[in-house]
Amino acid sequence: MFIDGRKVPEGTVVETGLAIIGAGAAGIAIARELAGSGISVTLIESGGFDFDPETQDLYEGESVGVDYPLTSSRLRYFGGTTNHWGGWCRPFEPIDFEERDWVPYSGWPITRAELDPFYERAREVCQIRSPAFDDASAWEEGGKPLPLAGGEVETRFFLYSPPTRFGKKYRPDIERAKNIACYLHSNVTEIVPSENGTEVERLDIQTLSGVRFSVKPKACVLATGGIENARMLLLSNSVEKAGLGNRNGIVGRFFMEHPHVPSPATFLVTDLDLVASWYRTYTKVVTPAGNVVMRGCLLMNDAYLRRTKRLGTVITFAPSRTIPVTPETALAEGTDEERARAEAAARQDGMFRGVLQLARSTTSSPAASGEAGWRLGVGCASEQEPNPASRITLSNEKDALGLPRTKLDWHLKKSDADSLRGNLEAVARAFGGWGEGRVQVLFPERDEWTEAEGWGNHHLGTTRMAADPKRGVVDADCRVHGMSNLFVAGSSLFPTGSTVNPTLTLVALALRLSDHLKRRFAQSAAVE
Amino acid sequence: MEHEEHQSTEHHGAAHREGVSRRTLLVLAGTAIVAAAIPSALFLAEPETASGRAAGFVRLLADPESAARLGEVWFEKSAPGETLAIYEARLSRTLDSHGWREGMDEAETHRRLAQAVRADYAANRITVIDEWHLSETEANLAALAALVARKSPAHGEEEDHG
Repeated sequence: MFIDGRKVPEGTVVETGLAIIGAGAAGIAIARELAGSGISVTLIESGGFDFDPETQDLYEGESVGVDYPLTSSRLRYFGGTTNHWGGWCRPFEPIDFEERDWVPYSGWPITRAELDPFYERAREVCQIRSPAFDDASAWEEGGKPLPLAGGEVETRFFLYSPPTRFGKKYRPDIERAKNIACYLHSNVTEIVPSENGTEVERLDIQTLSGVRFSVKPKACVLATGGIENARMLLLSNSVEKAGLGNRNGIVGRFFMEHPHVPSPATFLVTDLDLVASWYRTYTKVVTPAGNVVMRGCLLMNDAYLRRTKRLGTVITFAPSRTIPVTPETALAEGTDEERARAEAAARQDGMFRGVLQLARSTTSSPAASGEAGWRLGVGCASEQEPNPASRITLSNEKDALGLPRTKLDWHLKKSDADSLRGNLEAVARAFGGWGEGRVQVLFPERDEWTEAEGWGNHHLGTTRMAADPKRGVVDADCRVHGMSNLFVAGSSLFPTGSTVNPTLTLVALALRLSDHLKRRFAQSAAVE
Repeated sequence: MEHEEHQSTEHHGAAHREGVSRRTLLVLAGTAIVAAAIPSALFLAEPETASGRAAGFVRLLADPESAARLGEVWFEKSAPGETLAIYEARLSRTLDSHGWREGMDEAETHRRLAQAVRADYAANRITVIDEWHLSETEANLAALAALVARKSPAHGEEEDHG
């Protein structure tokens, strides 16, 4: 059932079993899991079914560190940011969950093995019809993995969600569920706890049209996204002055992204046919379970990461163009600028040709056609070191509801840049040792990294999980430390960010939380 | 990085290029540590023989001209030294360590060269030329190609006969 919050009588108090704040990937995944469970669920969404600029404006804020787009990187209506999700899915690596002595603040309170069953379920929720994230034999019709040398770089696979627009796809499930009421256009302005700050008592709600009402839940899940989760806890400060769950000052800290670098390197290969087609583009494969869209990528393997004490990087690539054996004739006419550009391009091609012909003189064989080889375009995303100084706080500016806006102070560290550079150098060794490729590392060595070339729109780490309340905001059950009935869902839980896209993992964690909540409600019903 | 022994004799520009090979060989011949690592034939060789070997190495290249340009870029950006005999010696030493012997046929020489290059990548013996991460052996080949090209009649310079 859907209810327009703007039409709720002023001052209404809605009593419920579970309140879920936010109808994005995590919130909808949890609500669906609880459909038909007998637990009354109230799903509270700021937006309606479509994009609305006024509601979206609630996401505006200040970016005072590495420049970051707080508004365009997320969407505030039913379905949340899945409304513009690209669909890239891949589980995190087992090493991502480990405490790594070279990565400060690393270590999840759960293992990859504990999350595996939920990854399976998350795959279904995200409509991915194959489990072969690591199994190259499943994709061998498209070719084999590159036999890269050195054992430092491995081929792995992204599998793509259609992408599932959670709002569109699962709206009927929410509508049909008799135990779920979804309030649209309803903004939680504060999670109000009991006097001692240990239990959620009610949620204060306000619409942009000015209607105020509240929800009194037995338990509450905060699922408003990786930035807003922290903001919501910080805004909930009428009892706990530093915000809920923030007695150790961790809420909002450790903001991480996946810095993207559009052209961190140039790859040259002698023969494009050596590079399996699924590396080069999104590739549709017909399987008995249905169509799967997949793509090969390169990841640094865990033995390498342990030895070099680096953070991870994921690399994708696509063909760019051929490099002929014979130089093309330079442009003789045109403006000075055009001729200069043509000359620069010819010089660059000369280098490409020189490198390819050198490879063909040593580890490869002479060109059999007029092509010296191929240039591949390269893209990458990197893991960031968790950094308490990279954080979300509240701005002095206010939004349309009168609430302090978000202030983001995103930091990138030298170690982030060093890892990326080192990993690209490892890829260069891997290609060279293979013999049919060479790599130009364009990402420079940096003393500091103050401006991001790109990002993934992935907001990670601001309500991190940790068994120890001094190291995290929530425990292994995603329950806010020091509070009995407040839980968090979403990528803000991640203590470390891995290198790959977060949606599959945040959905897996949400499904795991759903199971926990079902058990919890079953136990309390048994007690009652 | 290894192979630093040549640096002190270099960076003297074109005026010093001619005749450097012979002097460098004498310096090398007097240095026992270095001598142990360099093929004995080199010390007995007259410069003409050395140039012959250099030319032989350059003949291994699919495109000596483009390799020479790569070598020139290396010289320009990193000033690694421009003494032909040094590069020739390095390549001889590298190939020797992979079982190459003078007179081996071209296919076998190529096989040893490929081994040497792969071994460089495996051992992180990398030379960066214009951000390209190439094996040291490859870089030495490119440098040699550049220096041989400079001495070719087409380049307008005299042959170096010592």
